[in-house]
Amino acid sequence: MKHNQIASANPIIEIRNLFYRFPDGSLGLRDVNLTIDQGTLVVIAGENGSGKTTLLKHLNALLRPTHGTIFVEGEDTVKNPLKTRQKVGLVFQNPDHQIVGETVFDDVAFGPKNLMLDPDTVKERVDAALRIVSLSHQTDRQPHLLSGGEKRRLAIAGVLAMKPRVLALDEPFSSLDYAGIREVLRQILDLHRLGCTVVVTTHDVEKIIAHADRLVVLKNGSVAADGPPERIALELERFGVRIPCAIRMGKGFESWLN
Amino acid sequence: MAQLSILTFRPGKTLMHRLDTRCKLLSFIILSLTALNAELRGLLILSLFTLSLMGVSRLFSLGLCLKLRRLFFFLVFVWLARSLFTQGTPLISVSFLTFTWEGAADGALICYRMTLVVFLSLVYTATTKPSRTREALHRMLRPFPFVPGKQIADMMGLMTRFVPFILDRIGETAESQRARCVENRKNPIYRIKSLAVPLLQGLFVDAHFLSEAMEARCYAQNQTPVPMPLDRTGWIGLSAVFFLCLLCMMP
Repeated sequence: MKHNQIASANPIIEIRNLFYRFPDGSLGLRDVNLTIDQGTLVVIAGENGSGKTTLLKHLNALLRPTHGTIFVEGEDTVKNPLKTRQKVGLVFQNPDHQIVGETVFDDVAFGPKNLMLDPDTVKERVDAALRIVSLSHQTDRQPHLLSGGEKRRLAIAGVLAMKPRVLALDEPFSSLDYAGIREVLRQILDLHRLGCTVVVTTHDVEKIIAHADRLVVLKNGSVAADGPPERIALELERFGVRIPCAIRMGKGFESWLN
Repeated sequence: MAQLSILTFRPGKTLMHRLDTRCKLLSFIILSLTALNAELRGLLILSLFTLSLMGVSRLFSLGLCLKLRRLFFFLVFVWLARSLFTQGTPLISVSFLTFTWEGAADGALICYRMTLVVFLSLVYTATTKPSRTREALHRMLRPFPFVPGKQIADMMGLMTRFVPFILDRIGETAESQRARCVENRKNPIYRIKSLAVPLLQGLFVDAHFLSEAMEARCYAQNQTPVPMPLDRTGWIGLSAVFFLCLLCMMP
């Protein structure tokens, strides 16, 4: 094991010696080694361009490593990308880019339909996913007319309907107001409580750090720090990430839900 | 993104929403072709029919009329062009431009036909989900050998999915340029270039993100089929449209 990687008891994702080179030749990820345990909530922090989104896209097999391997539940993501996409649900930074359905129901049904499930199962899954994100009353609405927080929850539901084992969220709080942030945060924590493994990338850890089991910091495509949030938080500004306000003021972590 | 185009699906439970998509699609193709070929009497009958379709689909609203104002400007332009460049009895002459009676009448008829086609398309797109159009096209093309029905249907589905995006992007790009006083530049080529380049770049980025998001959710050509039982209402509607179009085309 490289770096100060945490030893894992029950890994669901294993990333080994991951390198990724962009088509223009620049290196997006360099020698990333990470193991993520089942049922944990991991925050991946880093400044813009540090490789957070690139790393998430690898977890969902949207990108193929230039070198190295990623295993999700022991299976190589390159060998079986479709299975990987079922197991790791990726919620994009901009929900508008993710919406493909004409109604809330259709958008959530998009994934299950791609899995060729029978219509009854599709309906069951959509209803359940919408119930979890509290959008059951909006099934016939046009997704583009939802509020920012609702769109983000819809994007989460679209992924939940595929019953993933891991939920990967790319900057889930960006461009949301205070109420929207709390709404999405509550949703993420509820899913985590239900046993879902959650991986969240952010450049602003303040909103979620109080709930994280582990904090990984990326810098220039490499893992710069990895460990319990209490230990890493004070070092964050070395890596271009702002230290949470409460910590600066000498207090402990504070939840945004309080 | 909230200000979407008029050519998008509007959820509802009206008769038009419930009508079988294959019959609806065929009906609207026949109606549009008739509108493009009919004379004044036929166009008047078609107008009444289109207005009743809009009423049944609950599509009348002030917002809709406001959104159609750009179409009105386009039609005025078509009418003027036709009036000025058709030979015939002169009505007004200004310098080298002659406004002819035949041109004005012909232009008005063309604009009338185009308006009808737009309204018919509006009724169809507002009451039909693109996914159902995709499925209907796929099923309609299935009996034809050597026609890649699935791919054509997929492309049509994606295209209709992308139209609101494109219109939205055009609006946003134009607004952001107006905010930086592009209107001060009188050169139309400069203005077209400064709109088209960022617009195309933005559209390619949008298309990339959309395809990535679809891939992330296991997009495949083989999806759970949309149940589409062909009922009697669809056939009755299609037959009614067929006879109406015959009536419109009668001399």
